[in-house]
Amino acid sequence: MSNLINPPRLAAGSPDERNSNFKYIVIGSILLATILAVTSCDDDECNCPNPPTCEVTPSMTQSEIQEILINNTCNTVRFSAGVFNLSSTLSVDGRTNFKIVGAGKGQTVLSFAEQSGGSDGLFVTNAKNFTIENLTVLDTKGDAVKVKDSDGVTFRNVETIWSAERSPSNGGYGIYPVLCSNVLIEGCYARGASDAGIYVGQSTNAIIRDSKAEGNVMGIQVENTINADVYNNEVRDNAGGILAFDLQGLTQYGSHTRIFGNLVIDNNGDNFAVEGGFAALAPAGTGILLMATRDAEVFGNTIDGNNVVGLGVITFVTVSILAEISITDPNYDAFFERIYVHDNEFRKSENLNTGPGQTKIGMLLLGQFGGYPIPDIVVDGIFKPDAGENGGLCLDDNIDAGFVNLDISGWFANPSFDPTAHVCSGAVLPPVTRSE
Amino acid sequence: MAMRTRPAITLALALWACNPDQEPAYKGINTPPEDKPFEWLSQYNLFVTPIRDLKPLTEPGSRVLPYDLNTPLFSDYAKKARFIYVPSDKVGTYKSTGVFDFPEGTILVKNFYYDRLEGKDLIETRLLIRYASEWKAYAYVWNEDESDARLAIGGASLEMPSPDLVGGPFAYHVPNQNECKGCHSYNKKLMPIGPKAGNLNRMIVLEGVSVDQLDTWLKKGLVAGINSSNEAPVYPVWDNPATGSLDDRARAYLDVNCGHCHRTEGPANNTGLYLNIEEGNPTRLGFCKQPIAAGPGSGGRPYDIVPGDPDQSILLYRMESTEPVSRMPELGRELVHSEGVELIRQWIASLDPEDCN
Repeated sequence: MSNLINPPRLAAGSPDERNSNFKYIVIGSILLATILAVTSCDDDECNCPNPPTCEVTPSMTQSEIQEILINNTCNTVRFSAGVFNLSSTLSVDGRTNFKIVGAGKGQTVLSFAEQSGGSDGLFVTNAKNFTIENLTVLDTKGDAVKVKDSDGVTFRNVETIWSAERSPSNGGYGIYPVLCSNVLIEGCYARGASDAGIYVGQSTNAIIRDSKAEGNVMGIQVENTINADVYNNEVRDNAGGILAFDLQGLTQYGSHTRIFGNLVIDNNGDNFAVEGGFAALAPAGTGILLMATRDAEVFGNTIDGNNVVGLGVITFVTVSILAEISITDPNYDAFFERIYVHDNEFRKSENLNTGPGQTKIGMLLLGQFGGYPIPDIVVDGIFKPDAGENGGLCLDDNIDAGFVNLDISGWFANPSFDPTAHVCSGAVLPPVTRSE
Repeated sequence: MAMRTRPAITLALALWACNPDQEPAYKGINTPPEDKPFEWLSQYNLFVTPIRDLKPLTEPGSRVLPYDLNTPLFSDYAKKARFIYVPSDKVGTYKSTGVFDFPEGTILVKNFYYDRLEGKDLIETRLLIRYASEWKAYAYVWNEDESDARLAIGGASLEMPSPDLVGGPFAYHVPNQNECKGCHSYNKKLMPIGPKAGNLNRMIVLEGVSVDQLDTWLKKGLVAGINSSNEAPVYPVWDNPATGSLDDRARAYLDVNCGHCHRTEGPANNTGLYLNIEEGNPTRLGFCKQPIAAGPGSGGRPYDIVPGDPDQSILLYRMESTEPVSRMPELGRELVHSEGVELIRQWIASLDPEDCN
């Protein structure tokens, strides 16, 4: 039963007399509704002890590969080594215990340089226990690997790259789970994203570790997510390194973020995001930025040479003031609260981005300091009214850390360099556990 | 196949291979088992031979009816010949908002074609089939001589002459099975988009006679729940000012073309932009709302909708774009819908800048 090219599936009549030439040139081709499976199982008589693996190769057409991703007898789809030139989004929907596996980063390359259909590279929806590993996704028009509405999502040794260096026409997000739960991102690499290289949004229980992001607008971003651990990552040469945001008007609000043991190095790259999105606001020179989030612990990071905002803790009120954005969501908490920043090590360098790749807000901040280095830890000076005397922020044992309260609401009239009000111990948060 | 006598029903299958001279025979609708779609469109027996004429079976009990919508989804200027089949022993449930609850066995048929000088040019036919627990969607691509259309699970990209024969060829996209759900999704389940009360509440020509479409459905028992179409809402026809105000027509257009994804139950619910007709919150409708995940798709404009200023509105930028990264809708639109763009342009221009929160 290994040859399923002509399955006996026609109920009646023979297709032979029908002209099966298509009237228009098929760009790529339409596969006859058959599947080439390495371990092929006719699902009527399948008694397979192991879930079958289906193999795809660069010689297959877009439609052929897509059919295999739809065929529910393939629990693992293995992309062989080589460059796959794809013309449109590959999609996966509603699969359980499903894997997409390549031969390794840089070995299996899904190239979307010639993409004309869809904007994502891979788009996965409504999956339960989905893994993608060991491959590179190159030059998608929009987001590289987007996974939505799925539970149990693993990205392992996945690389998302745009070849054009810091181009605003690069896609927005590289690794992009959204509205997911129990997410693991490990051993991944993201470069060139015009928003965030690695992004987890509106999700619950997410771990991002042992990954690297460089040359993106944002390296790693966690947005409106409940329970996120971001650790042992290297985030280098982006406009912004690691960001944890809560925005208004979305499906859920975030809380509980741990950012620890990361190398956050020299994130002074141009902010090449297209105007309009939030990414376009962040100063080129941001190490770690927490915005309007609550229950966060940031510790043991090396924050080196991020020369505008080493580590920022701000409210959305500041964004509202500086970017003239109204707060319209009545349930949104625009303040930060219960933030604990400790045992981080800071350094500055001479690398200051004052070119066209700096943002208006970045230039404004640099201007306020008149060329002097901006202290490492930056707060906007807007505190939640009931947050207590430390204002919802505890700073402890940060090595070589300067401090500034910008007094944004007073338009920089009375900045303070005294961290005393915030020297305290905050809550140590438990690790994120992914439920299987 | 010189046989000219009218075949008995029991012979119908044997005579099925096409013979243009053969008179149609009633064979009844075939519905394949779930997840086993037929290879060929003709196997469903929705239309009499030759099926390219899209003439539904009219025998009593066949219940295949053509239908039209007040404001349809734009699909690269393709025309759509729509049909509905509801099994004769079943009846659907009328709903005043949202898509009707159709019974198991219902088939919605959408034939995509272009009118050319030489006649109707059939491209693809999409079926939505209602199984016990959910809908399934399949696309069939017509063959060279339009004798039949073949299943295309993995989708297709077809180089197609421009609809007006003036522009150059374009890549017509036949969706793959997963992409169908990219639009047809409600709470993660596949759902039809068009057949809602307000969109169906209109006149239609059936067998040469103009009749009230919804009343016909009620009379034939396709759906039940109200006594007359007078009880149902009416969507305006997006391009007919006599049917509604600019605001009404723009909202109907956005509902059908965008609201299937951009609603709380839809695939674009991560964006915070909701364009379904029921949405009343200005920010959620995009008024002075910053984009969330547009990336380069924002075109450098500040808000989804800038009241009074269409050329600063991301929504219009994305409707006017044909680039994969920025065009909206993402799927099924390679060409700009100029008339739709004009409607939304006028609508945004008519909005009061003071509505910017």
